[in-house]
Amino acid sequence: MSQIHLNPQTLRISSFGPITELEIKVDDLLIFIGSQASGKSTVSKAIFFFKSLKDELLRYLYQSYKQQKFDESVTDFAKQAKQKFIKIYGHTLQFPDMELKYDYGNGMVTTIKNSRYTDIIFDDYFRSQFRNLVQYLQQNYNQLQKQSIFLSSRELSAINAQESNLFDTITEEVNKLFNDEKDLLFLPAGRSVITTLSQQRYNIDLGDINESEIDSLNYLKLDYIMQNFISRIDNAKPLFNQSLADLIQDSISDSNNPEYREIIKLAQNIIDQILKGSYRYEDGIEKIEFGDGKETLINFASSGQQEVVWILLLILLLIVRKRPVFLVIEEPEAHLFPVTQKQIIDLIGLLANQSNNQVIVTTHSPYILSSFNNLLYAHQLGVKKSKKINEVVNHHCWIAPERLNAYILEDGTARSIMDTEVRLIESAEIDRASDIIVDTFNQLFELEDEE
Amino acid sequence: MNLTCKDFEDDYPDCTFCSQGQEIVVKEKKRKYILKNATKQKVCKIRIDNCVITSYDQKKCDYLIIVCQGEDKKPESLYFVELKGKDLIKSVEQLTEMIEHWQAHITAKVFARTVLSKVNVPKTIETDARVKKLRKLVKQYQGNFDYGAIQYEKDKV
Repeated sequence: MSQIHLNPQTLRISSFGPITELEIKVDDLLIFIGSQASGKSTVSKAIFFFKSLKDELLRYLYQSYKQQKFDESVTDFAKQAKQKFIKIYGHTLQFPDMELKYDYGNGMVTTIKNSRYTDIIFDDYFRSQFRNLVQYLQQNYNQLQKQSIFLSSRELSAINAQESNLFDTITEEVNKLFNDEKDLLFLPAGRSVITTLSQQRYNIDLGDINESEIDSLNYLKLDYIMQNFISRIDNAKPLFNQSLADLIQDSISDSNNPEYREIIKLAQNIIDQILKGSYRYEDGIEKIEFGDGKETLINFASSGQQEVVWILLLILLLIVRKRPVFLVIEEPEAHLFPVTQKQIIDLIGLLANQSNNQVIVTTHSPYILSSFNNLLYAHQLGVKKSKKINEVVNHHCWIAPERLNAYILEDGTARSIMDTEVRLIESAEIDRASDIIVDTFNQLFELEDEE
Repeated sequence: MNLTCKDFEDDYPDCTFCSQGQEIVVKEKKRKYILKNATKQKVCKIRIDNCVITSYDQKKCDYLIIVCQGEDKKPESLYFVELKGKDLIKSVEQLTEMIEHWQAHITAKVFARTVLSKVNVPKTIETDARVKKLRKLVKQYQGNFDYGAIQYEKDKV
């Protein structure tokens, strides 16, 4: 199999939601600032959506195989993709001129437009590859069918192995088609409510239930991104029936790589400092343990802990499992003290440096931007005097400036606030928003002594 | 020309005010920059904006203060001063462009100063790329960048 290309991917959006026109190169690290409803989420979700078509296609092909439906036209897949788009954004027909275009960096371009309906348009390259994949599946299916008449148990397991190989090949081909092999994870704003409600989760509609069956008052309607976040958490919970330290010890003891151990220790250190306790999941109960036998149920933990616990645990698992990831974190600063915000960014830097991971961060916090500047600056200086700089900022957290871009979303477009000469973020752009607050204060100050 | 008291006195007599007072003061509205001159050396304050430089295209600061030394020696220190309402970043850009504009002629220590009107600037602003650039620039000339509100009087000749 040939290598995944490293060409940058690009997103273009016009006339969609708050966005008039923008084009963004999908660098490894993207930071978005801007007021609410300026389009930060719109952009992050769009990149997430286009990248997630990879998983959608795999799911589709797997279903096709299971149901022996080998249709070479993309129509059904396009419908499935469109359903997903609507689950993420809701209906978008109120934007008649909208266009979202994603260039996967290997020449493939996917477009979303509204005509009478919302259409997802796949280009010829995709269509031909799609046809090849379906044909390939069908051929393999037929071949395996031929072999599989009155088989011995040994032959049966050989067939299972062949099927599993087949899907490994398909996965590889799909990754190549989408120019990406990363796991996708979106940590949406408002996630702390999920932690709070986790004990009452049976009341939450995960979108699987028929609308008419729902007594709408008792169910919380959740969008796709939130549902996805919840199922990722549910999936990870059982891992924490042991303490974090034990979980880490297990994975470290399997590895002889000292650098891997160092990275995990570093991550664990940061997480311990932030969480000030250890998360445990036992008999369906989530809690935070504080050593000395004290513990608190997750829904009674501090709002900061509730907000951050799953960010920390998921990032840790990604690092421990060395799994390449594309991660979106909306407002990592939510409910957190400034020093903790810095620690989260150190952790994100650490994650970004594993397996060329990609991270998108949206933020309203000057501390977050300044913390990124620390990591960028450390990298610049670290090239020459790594030892001294490493004492100030651990080198696993340094961020190479060429991997990062930061944008302010305003007036319907995106403007880069990365200074290409100094190779730092113009972090004060976020403070300029405070002018209006300070103006009010100064007006009051003037009036204080007035008769 | 060079960035010396003499050259400014010769070339821009209308913009250059030299004295040996104990306090060299430049001000605008309520904002004040004071250079303490206890040893009463000769100091020239030069009005840059709208006097030495009138072009709108060139970003410039309000004042340059030169601590002069004897006839033939070079000046000891240059203080670029911007008296600004509230936009620290804009003042930083002005100071940077001003210093870069004259860079070829600078052999002295260079200090960059902004005086804001009673605005509490968040400390995080110091990690901004533009602030870092200015700090790096003046560091080359053994100086530094600093800012304050309403009245700045930390500098001594």
